[in-house]
Amino acid sequence: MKTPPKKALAAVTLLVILGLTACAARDWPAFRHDAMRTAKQPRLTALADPAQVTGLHVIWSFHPAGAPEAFRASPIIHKSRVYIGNGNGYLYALDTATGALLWQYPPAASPGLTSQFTCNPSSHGIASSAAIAKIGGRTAVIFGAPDQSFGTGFGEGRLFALDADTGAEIWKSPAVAQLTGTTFGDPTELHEQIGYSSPLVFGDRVYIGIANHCDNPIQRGKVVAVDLATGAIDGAFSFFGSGPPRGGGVWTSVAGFGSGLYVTTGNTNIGGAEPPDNHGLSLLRLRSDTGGIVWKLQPVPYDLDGDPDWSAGAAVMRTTCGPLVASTMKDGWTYAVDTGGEAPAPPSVRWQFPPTGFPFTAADGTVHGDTRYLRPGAAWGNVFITMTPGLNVTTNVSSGYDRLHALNACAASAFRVRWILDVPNAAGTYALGPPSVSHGIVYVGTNEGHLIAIADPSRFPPAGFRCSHPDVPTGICLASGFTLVPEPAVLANVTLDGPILTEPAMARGRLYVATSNGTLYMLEP
Amino acid sequence: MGSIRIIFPRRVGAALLTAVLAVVGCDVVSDMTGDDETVPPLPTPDPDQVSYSSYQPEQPYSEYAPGALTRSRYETEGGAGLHVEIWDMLIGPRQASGAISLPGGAVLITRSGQPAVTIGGKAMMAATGTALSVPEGQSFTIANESDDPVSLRVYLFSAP
Repeated sequence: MKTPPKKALAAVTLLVILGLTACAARDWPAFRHDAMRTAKQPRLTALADPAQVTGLHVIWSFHPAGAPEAFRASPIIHKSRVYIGNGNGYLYALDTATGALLWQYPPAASPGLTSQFTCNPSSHGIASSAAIAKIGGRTAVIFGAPDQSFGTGFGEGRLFALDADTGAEIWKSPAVAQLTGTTFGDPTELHEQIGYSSPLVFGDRVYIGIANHCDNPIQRGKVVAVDLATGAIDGAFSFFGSGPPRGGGVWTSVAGFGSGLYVTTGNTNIGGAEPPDNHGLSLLRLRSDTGGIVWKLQPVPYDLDGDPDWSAGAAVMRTTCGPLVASTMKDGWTYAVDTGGEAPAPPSVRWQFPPTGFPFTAADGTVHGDTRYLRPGAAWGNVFITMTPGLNVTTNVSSGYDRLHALNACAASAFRVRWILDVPNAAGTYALGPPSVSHGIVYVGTNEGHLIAIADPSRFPPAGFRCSHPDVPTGICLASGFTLVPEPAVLANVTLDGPILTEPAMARGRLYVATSNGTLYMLEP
Repeated sequence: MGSIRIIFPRRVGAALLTAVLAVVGCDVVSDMTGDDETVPPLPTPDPDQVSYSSYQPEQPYSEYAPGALTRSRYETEGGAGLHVEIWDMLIGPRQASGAISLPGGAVLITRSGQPAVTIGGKAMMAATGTALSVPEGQSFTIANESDDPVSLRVYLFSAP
């Protein structure tokens, strides 16, 4: 047999590698970009070039006809199309170059996918960001939404898989979130909902988190798996956030890495006895085949549960110190845990920030309430970019809603903080949307309607230095034992038409972001 | 001048086809995973060379005693001439305070960290949640031997 020339083989190998590299992740096919929920666009484009980012400007905008509501779902992009659901219950497919509407689901003449139980933005129409998948050779767009056309008729939650080119239905799942009544606070009715959870396409399944309608009352949280090919519920997979009667809602999107799923859960304590199998207020690794718990980090015990839902979700980080899963809890503390192996074991917590110690106890004086650190972070190499108050978490917890920290995941505790920025044009409780990152350029929206581009100091000189403790003036920082950390430069500050609580999605050099005024924007440097 | 003729064996052809498919097809699955990107740590700034940012804390600490920072959070008249104040006190990493003398009697509660508190010559470790009382006029010191800050809440009681 003739042996191929070595040079030819080498060239072909290189071509394969280059091809895969060029291809991988140039789109933004899921909430937080990928299954690991990194929110990182690894492809180098003008959006990662500090010299060009300053010219960021709007190319087109899309405002749905009729009576659009807020966009709570974020856009996803596959090839030449952007997909996004609106609070009015319609999913839109647009041309990425022009913003022209290609199709919508359901068609305009049909009622939107809405619920009869509406209480906060999570229950208005489609709050779930979509995901791209391959089903039988077809590219599909999968999303979750309420649907009054089946089941109880109140708007039970189900998953939809549509042909990404035409919007034609491929499948509709059975109810994954049951809604058996609409009476606020009625404990005899099921008030489950998909809400903000975005489907995770992982292997041959689709996973979705289930929580409730604005805690009226809280429900038994769960993760449901459906078959990717058919949409049928996979009965072999089962995870509940607590035993009966209620608690542990899965408000956000499941992450996947290796053979594990990573999920965060909401609260369980609404008075009375602790439910059995309380997995609420936890960061967990689950088996992707059965839903069995591999490990569980539960820093806040039942008695201290003042409703700090762990609602940011998990981001898996591939770092130089190993794979980690990181997330910030609603009470403002951030944790990084080794992803670990298949065998059930206690969680190997790499660090807590701020490093006050845990599990918390009634004696330690800490407070774990319904504060608003609920945005997922972005994972960029060894750096986790997240919304957290920082070192003043025990004394001034609500001061950090407009603050991003970049945390060095593999550094010693004293060097955890890489940079801090109090983001401009952001104020109040829901000040920031989730950050996204590309080669150190961080994009984040604000509730005052600004899209902000921030440069990691390795990419562009910082605006200056400030104290690692947010409440210590710079002038006395070093003498007080703290360190000076950079305040990164703001490269662009673009005013849009309303609050931006969705994530900026980057694909092929273009940035897409949606506002609460019901407008989707495409911007380029 | 001779021409160059390239002949690809079947295995090379198959690999080439794979490469082309990889480039053109852009399989969705490949888009669903992250990738590795090494991000180096930032260099430690030279304190003499850095410029400060314009950031100003809304509720800044100030130095109350050497090594001890405080800020007032709340104050009220407690009736019967009693004045009540709530302070935050902060001891930075690896810092030891000088003598701290408060304007009244006080209860100190550790909010984070593990301070070594010395009151009237008696030293004790105060774990998170520990409450200590300090008589009016009694000075004390706090040492923080860890890399993480110590924060305390101080309840001050004074009468004219």
